[in-house]
Amino acid sequence: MFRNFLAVIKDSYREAMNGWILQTMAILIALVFILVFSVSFRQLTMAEMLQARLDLINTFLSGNPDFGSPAMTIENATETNPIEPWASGHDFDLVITCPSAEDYQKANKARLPVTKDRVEQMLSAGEMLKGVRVTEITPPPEAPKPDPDAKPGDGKKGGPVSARFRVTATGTNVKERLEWPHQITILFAVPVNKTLSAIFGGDSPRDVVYMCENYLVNGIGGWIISMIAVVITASFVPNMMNKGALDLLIAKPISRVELLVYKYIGGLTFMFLLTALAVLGVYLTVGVRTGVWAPNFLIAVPLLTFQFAILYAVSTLIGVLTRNALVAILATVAVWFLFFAVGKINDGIRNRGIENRKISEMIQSGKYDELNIDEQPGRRRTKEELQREFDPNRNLWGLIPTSTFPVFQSIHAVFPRTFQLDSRIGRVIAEGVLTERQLKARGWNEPPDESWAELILVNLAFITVMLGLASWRFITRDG
Amino acid sequence: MSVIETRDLRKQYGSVEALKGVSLQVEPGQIYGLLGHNGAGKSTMIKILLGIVKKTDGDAYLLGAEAGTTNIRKRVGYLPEDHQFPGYHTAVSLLHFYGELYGMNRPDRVKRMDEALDIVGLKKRAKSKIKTFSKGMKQRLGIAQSFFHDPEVIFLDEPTDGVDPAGRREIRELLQTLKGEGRTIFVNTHLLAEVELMADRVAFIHQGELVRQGTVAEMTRRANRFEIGLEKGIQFPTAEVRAAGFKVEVVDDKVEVELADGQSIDPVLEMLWAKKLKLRHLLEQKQTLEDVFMKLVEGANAGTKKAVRVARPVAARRVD
Repeated sequence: MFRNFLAVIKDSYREAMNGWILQTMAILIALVFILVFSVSFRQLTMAEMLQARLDLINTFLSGNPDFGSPAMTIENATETNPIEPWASGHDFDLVITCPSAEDYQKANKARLPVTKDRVEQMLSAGEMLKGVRVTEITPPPEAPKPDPDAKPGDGKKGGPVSARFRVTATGTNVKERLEWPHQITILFAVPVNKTLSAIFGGDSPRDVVYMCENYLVNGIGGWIISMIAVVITASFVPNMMNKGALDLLIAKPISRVELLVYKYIGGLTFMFLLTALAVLGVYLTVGVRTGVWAPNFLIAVPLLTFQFAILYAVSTLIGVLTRNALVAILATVAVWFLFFAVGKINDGIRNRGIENRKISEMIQSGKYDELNIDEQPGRRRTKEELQREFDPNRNLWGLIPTSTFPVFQSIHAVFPRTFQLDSRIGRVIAEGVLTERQLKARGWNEPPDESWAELILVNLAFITVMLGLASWRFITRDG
Repeated sequence: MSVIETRDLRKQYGSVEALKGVSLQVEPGQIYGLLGHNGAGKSTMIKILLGIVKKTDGDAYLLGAEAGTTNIRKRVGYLPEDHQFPGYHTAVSLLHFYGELYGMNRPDRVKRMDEALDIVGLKKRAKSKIKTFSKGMKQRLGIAQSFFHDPEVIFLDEPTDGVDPAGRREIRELLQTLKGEGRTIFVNTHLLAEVELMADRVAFIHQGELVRQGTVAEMTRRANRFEIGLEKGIQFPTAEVRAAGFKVEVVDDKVEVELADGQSIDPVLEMLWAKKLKLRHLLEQKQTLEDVFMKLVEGANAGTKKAVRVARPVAARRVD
């Protein structure tokens, strides 16, 4: 039996190696290694790090005249331990400049951090600085007196105004260099914009490792590898069942179920090898370049293969039923999308339940300030308005009526958990790379929705049913 | 004990009855030819014996066991009609693959495939991709894979398809060699002249029914018909021979004399001797398998109310 298994696996390997797709994949994976290897880091000072974040806010606020276009800059920064800024005390000036006193008032009305209290609140809420204390050096400008002679269209008067606050912090919440923001350079010489890297998931070496492992390999890479694997392996079963090829095989001393299951495992081996090459390569490269050796990432190899096993079980069944590789590819991709969509909708339904409870509690208790974030400056919505806006029966994402929720939940109960598995791989990678503070910032601090047992058993049951049906059809058909 | 035995074997594909109660026996060490036109049920018979298709009714035994079981297939070789090898294999890798499925160890595989590829004349192309092979080469590789694992029984479905005349002769010789090694060979073909040259025993199958079986000698014997030729310019005494109670038919410059049961050709020869006519040609006639087959088919069709259009078998061609 084992000899048969090895024979079919080797045959599948030959089939996969036929043509240039696998070789092209290996080259693509090698390019990913080079990209990861080309990443380098330069530790940022506190001033650089804060300015990068403030630049992001400045850009956002400058787009809306109602916010008064405040520009926030850091000046006169000093730190007690420049070598290890995360273990250092910090002093700096935060200067807020608006085009006019009138604009400053607009920013104030919009509840932006332009006053001493709000500056302190903003810097403390950032989860980076500890023991923040703010003193006013140059106070915010007074509100301008209304000019009785002013006519509409006169423009702003008095020129730019600014306020200066001295900020001191006793330390930071960061515990080590790998968690501290860095200037990232890719392709050996191309610096990544500090603001951009702050937007796209953080700029510490750990964040970069997480991005490489989760988005580059598990996300884009996993998707591309799965897609290629679906295309290549979809022809395994139809080719085997080609008229003229099948008789040769099933006349050999191997049962049809064995043949089918071994072919299936052959397809999985193909995916396993590609994933292992990508994951192991990136793991080693990232480890060498950053010093972050997170073995959690290695679990992506079996989990991505397991995820593919679900798709390939569908492909195998369609292959047996139709003997047509193209139909198998199209059906598998369609089913892949369907599973993902149902998983995503179910996730949305679950989050809606949590959100409904939270909002209801906030509105009932009157603590609904944060719900007003996007409201027009200077005006707060009433409780009734908020209740209307956050109606628990509103459509999910504006599209899916709540009346259909039970249908999606029922479908989800029997469908494989590809979406959840994908999400879980991301979580496992994050847990291996990120610190607790970073996990919280990315929302990974809550426990997962599905247990491992549910993820594995439901998916395994689905695979078993698909392969069972495929085997039954294969056994009962003539030739 | 018969190597192959079927009893009242039936197979139905939907409304089509592919086999209508076929019973046959093949003894060890024989080359057995199953003959019939395309669609007669020949391939279905082999496929049932190998477990590729399922019988509808009846019994089928191979090497003493119920036909179609996985284990028994270890002792059997098979070349399907219109086979298609995976193009990504070379001859060597394909034989390794199949050899592993037959449970052969590597040294055995290497030794046997070397011999087999040499026998079928593919040794020089052993490491070329099969997709670069001609049809004849693929056929020869198919034959190699059918016997390289040392099977007791070999099923060949149209083995000479796509093979040139020289190749066919080599295949016939190879089958004789394999037979000489004690193997039983079951050949399906519609090339009747081929099988006439190599088979010990043949059976005709027509529209799913076994219409006749026997040895080639039995089938082709055409008793009681002699072809006679006299010296050029001498007239054959047709009227006198007919008067003596013989049927005479003039064919070109010769005559064919047909004897009734119990009659002997001797009185005719004595008559010629008595008239001092110089005899130059005397041949007891035989018939080809094709003749036999066509008669059987015509007979079978005459018995059916509905007119059946029968594809004439490929003309018997002397291939060497």
